[in-house]
Amino acid sequence: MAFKVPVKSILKQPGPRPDEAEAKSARDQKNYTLALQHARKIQAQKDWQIRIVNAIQVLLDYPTTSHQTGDEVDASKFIVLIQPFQPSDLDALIEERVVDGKCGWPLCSNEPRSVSLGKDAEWKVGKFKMGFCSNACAKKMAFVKTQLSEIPVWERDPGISISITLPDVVGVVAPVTKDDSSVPNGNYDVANAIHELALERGEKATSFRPNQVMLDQIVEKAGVVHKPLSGVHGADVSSTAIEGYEPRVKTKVGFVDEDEEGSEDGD
Amino acid sequence: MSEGTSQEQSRLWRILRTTKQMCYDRGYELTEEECNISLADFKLQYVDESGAPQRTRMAFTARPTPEMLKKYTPLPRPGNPEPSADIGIIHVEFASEPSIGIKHLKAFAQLLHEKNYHTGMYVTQAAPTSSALKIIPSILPTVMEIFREEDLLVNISRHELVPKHTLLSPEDKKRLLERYRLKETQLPRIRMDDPMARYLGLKRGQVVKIIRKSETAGRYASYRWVV
Repeated sequence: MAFKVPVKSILKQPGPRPDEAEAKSARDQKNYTLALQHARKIQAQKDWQIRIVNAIQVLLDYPTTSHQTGDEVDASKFIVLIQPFQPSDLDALIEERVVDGKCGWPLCSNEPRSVSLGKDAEWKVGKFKMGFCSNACAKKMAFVKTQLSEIPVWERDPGISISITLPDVVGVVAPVTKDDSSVPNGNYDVANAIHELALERGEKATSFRPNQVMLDQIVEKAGVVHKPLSGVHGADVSSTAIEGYEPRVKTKVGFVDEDEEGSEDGD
Repeated sequence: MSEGTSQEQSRLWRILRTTKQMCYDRGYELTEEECNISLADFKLQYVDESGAPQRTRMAFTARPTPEMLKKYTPLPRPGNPEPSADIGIIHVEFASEPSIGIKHLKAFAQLLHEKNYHTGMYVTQAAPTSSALKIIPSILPTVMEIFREEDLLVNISRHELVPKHTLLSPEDKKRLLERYRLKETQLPRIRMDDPMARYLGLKRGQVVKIIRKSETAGRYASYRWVV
């Protein structure tokens, strides 16, 4: 009875096994890179936001020259500066310029109607337009605003750059008064009017394809032969037919037959 | 004097009084008389001949008291055995323009930078534009706080339903966490934009002690972590 059993601890051995330690360090490394990646993303986003605020600050001092409509240099710089903007950033720019006492359109140095009209501006011309000196400037800004991308710049595809055109270049905001279009002149002609109406509906000359217009003679694809509703005797519809169906007349013979069957069953 | 100007005077008197009380409650060096200035004294000092109060004259600066410096000194760490207090002179300005944009805040930030103020407080008549607020984090470590005039008409900390809030020093915070064996994340929280947190100028990571009256216990203290 004097031999000793070697004592073996039932507790967990202290310290992780080498493979566990390895797995842990790998996991830590993975988490670290993931965290770093996200941190970089957020930092990039912050950098862009600062850049946008800086651009707004630069545009606050526009136009740099005293001309009423800024010169070419200002215009081209303006296009470059608003590349990263979202439409909401343009709203912020208008707000800032109004606070500064300038028309919301950066190439115009007049004072906005919120200043010139005073407190009545909002109900006289509306909330958006009161930040501009005139409706023309408001239209120009709206024209540029529609060209901006809704996607924030840090989520955009870097390969694709949006091209912004200024309304002065295209000539979109040509001063068209309502009187011009409504008063018919001497050589007013119906075909022209119809053409104009078609343009108004959004139909272009090229969209009109005569091949697909319905012709006046109708061609059925499969010939349908008209059949008169067949009566019992192949003649016209009889007066006894119900919705084209002639009920069978119960003859005496029929009754006899049934009776015979019944008697057979009874047997 | 017309009704409007006297109304404007008492309005600004209340705003200035609340602002000074706020700075006093945070621990800046201000006298009792300054914090509870009477309307007559206010009129003497800040109202011009026409009866209009001058907002530019109302600007003031205050130094932190030694107790406040102690409260804001972080705990010594091996890398930093003698940490300096994270607080300094506060400069308060009242904006006379009705609307505040980037340019105004930039100018104020520039002033804080030039005069080397630690904290700037800007009291505005209307909310600044959204893009103007974006420059506040860009001037860190200088702290800029924006208050609306209408938020300062009444001192909210004196309201009977607002319990007493006191900021804990880093040392007190450490003791509290040890006493209750907590991590700071296990404390209840208070948001940084909470009106009382804004009143005390709290920063993320600090802990406030809130002492309430209790029917059963007389007084009840709770602690909140600023997030």
